[in-house]
Amino acid sequence: MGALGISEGLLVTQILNFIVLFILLRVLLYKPILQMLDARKQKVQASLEYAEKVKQDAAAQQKEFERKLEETRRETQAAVAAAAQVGEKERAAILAQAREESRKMIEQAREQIEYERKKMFSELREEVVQLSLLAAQQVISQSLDEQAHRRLVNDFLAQTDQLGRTN
Amino acid sequence: MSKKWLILLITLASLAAMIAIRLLVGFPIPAISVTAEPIPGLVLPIPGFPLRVTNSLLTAWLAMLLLVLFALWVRRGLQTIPNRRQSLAEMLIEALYGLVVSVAGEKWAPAFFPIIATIFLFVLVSNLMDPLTPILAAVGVKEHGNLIPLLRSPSTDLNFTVALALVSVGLTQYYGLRANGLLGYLGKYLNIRGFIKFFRLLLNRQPKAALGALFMGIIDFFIGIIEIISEFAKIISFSFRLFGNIFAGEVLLIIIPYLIPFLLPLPFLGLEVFVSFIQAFIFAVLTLAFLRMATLTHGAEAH
Repeated sequence: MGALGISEGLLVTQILNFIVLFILLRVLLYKPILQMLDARKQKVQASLEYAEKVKQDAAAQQKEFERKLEETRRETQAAVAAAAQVGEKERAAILAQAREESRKMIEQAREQIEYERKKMFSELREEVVQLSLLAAQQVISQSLDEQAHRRLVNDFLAQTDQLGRTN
Repeated sequence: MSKKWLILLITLASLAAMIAIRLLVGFPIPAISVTAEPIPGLVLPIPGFPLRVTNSLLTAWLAMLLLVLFALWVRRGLQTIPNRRQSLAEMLIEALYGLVVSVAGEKWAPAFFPIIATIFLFVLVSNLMDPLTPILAAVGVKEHGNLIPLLRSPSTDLNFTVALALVSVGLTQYYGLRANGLLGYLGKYLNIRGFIKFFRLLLNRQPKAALGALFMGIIDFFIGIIEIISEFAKIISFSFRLFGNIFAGEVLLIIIPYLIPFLLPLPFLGLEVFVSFIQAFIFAVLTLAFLRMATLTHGAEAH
């Protein structure tokens, strides 16, 4: 052992050296650095988690936004459809009313015409009667009494009526 | 004649001149000693054991000082977002920690890491004193006409390497004891489980099985004894591997410059730097592997 230079004192001193260095480096180097690495790892982890959360939030918001947009679109469509329906109804109602009115007016006009015609007809007849009476009076003023005369004319008129009707 | 050839010619001519001068004048080969030289006049007055400080012990203290200074230098600017110096230290520590975790697992890594890292760093810095040998060897104290270098790589002193080997093997025993319990730990070296099985089978009147158990028991017992021997062999292999490698490097670096002091030592300096790293790594990784093997619980294997 002596030839190799090994002595107890030096051996023990070197072991103590190692122990001292072990403690010093543990306190000064390993612990701070490992703690720092741990802290950084946690920080990175937290950052990643935060980023993930933000991403998820953004995605959720995007979804919510899209949902609202879709809802709005649907509502608008519904409103437009409803409005169209209402307009259609209105149009139909107006049309129906107009048609009714025009029908009524035509009806009235027709009645008016009928009335006028009847009136004219009766006036005409009256005139014809008067004229005939006058003419007959002129021709046969003495030969017939008033009553016989009237019957004669009426007969004649009835014939003309019949004639007019067959025409 | 091109410039390149001219430079080569001048180089060769000066080399030849150097060698010729060396051969003509003669040169003293410096004293190479296996033992670390005590520095004259430097004795630590420890009561009862006055300690003669050797140059390798002094260098070991220097290495410790350098490491502590390095730690303080790193620690001063420690922050979450690292600067360059911190990145360097972190890279080193993280790589070592990753190695320890990959070998020993998460459970033991916090306990093993400071041991492995300290062994690696201490041995590395001490080894790296070796490529400095040509400079270190020139600075010394004269005693009886001999120059005694003040500094010498601790790894070239068996006291240092044996001390580290004792620490390594001692810690291996400690953690083996802790992981396996007293019975498990002793059972590894004094394996009598086979004999117990033999007696139990004998009592159960199964002589054939008992004979087999006895045979296996004898083998296991011898393996246990070999395990004891291997633990002592570890101390020797640890210490002499490191010592041999670095001491050989030192001798090489002392001899080569005295033969050809020009250019030729350079590759050897590079080689010694490389060897320094490799040897520090081997010492640390072997310690780690032995610690791992010691803490593998034997209980799981027996069932």
